[in-house]
Amino acid sequence: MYNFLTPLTTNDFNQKTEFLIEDFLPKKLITMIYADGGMGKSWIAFGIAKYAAQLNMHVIYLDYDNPINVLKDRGIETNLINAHPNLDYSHRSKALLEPIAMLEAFEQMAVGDKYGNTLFILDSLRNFCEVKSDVSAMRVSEKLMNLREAGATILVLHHSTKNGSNYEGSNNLRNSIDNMFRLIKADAPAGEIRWLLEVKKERAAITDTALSMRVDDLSLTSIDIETVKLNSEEKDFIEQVESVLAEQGSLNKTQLLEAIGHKKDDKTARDRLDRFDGIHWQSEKTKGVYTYSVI
Amino acid sequence: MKKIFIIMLAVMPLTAIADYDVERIKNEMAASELLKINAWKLNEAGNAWMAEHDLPNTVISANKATTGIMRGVASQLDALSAMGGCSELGDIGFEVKDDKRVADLLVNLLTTQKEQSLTANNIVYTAQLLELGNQVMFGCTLKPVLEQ
Repeated sequence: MYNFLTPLTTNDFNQKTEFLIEDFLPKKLITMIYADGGMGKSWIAFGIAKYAAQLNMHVIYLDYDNPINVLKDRGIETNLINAHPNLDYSHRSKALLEPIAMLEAFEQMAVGDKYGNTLFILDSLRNFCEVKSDVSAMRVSEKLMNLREAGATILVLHHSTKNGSNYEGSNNLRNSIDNMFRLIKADAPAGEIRWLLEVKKERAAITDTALSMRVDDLSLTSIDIETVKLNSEEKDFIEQVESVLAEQGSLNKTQLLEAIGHKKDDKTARDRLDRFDGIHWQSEKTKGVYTYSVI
Repeated sequence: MKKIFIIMLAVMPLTAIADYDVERIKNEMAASELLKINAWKLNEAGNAWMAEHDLPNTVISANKATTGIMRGVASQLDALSAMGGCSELGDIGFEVKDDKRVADLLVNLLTTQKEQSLTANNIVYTAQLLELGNQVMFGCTLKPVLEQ
């Protein structure tokens, strides 16, 4: 009766949420990852960009944050930009337009399912708007939502408040972003980065996720969330072992357990030694005896 | 003496002191009939401007480091129109009317499909075709030499 309202049809509701990364990164939605500096926001985005490019998605990485020398040091030219012709990396130094104008250029083309197989990565949000200004945040949000309506999958990197508990800026951002994760860097073996991603807002069926990435080739893998979630007892245990090994050098398992106040048959302590082996210390088995040392 | 005068006339357009002055560039762009700019709008941070204009599928922005035009290209007509806009930006940047160097550069861009740039008077003019998925965009920028 009111045709001008173009009512939703059953088909519109039959669309199922597809994931780029299961339970973590839904397609055709806007996902924000926020963290304090040094947590590896760009690193995880590089890993996600590579993962999506390998799945033949078209990736548009809008980098207005990282200096060129950092990209070079991280091997981004080799492992990402030159490795995937379906990935377009737009860097601040060569950008044609202001960050928000770049978004507008894409928005102007956003018709139908134009970006149905496209992943946009914004690194990072504060370069695209004044995050504390409601008007500015709303302006960039509208552009992102228009890209989303044209099928785009959007990943927004953003900074947290000083204590890391929330994202920085206007509440308008929360209203327009579909899913939000807080990024926490976890301990990892050399050559690897591990993260815990805590769900902070969800519109799709996302869950807390743990990811690991090799820094030499940006390969990203899902890992058991328990491996990156440490309780205070485990943290104390790790600190004690590291301290003892730093002071005393190599110790066998019994000596090490005794040095940190555990009996040699304490199963929990023995399990912990195994669990963090290769991450916080290393062991070598010689004639049936394990010897531990710092990495 | 006559020879020297002729040489000076020939070289003059190349040695015009343009430099990257964003205010001058904005004003001349706004005065251009080709670019159809109605107004420049300052962003919330107060460090960049976006043009309000009547060109289809086009975004124009300016700040102290870059002035750029980007246009989605879906047809030959679009490409010609984008070329016109970029030619105008180059002319404004170098302060040379109908600058042959800019025209040649844009022809080279279309022929080779590779990014082209030209540096003169402390300004770098760059033009490129960007293929973003199934979208082709024609873009050009002016930047101060020191920012490169």
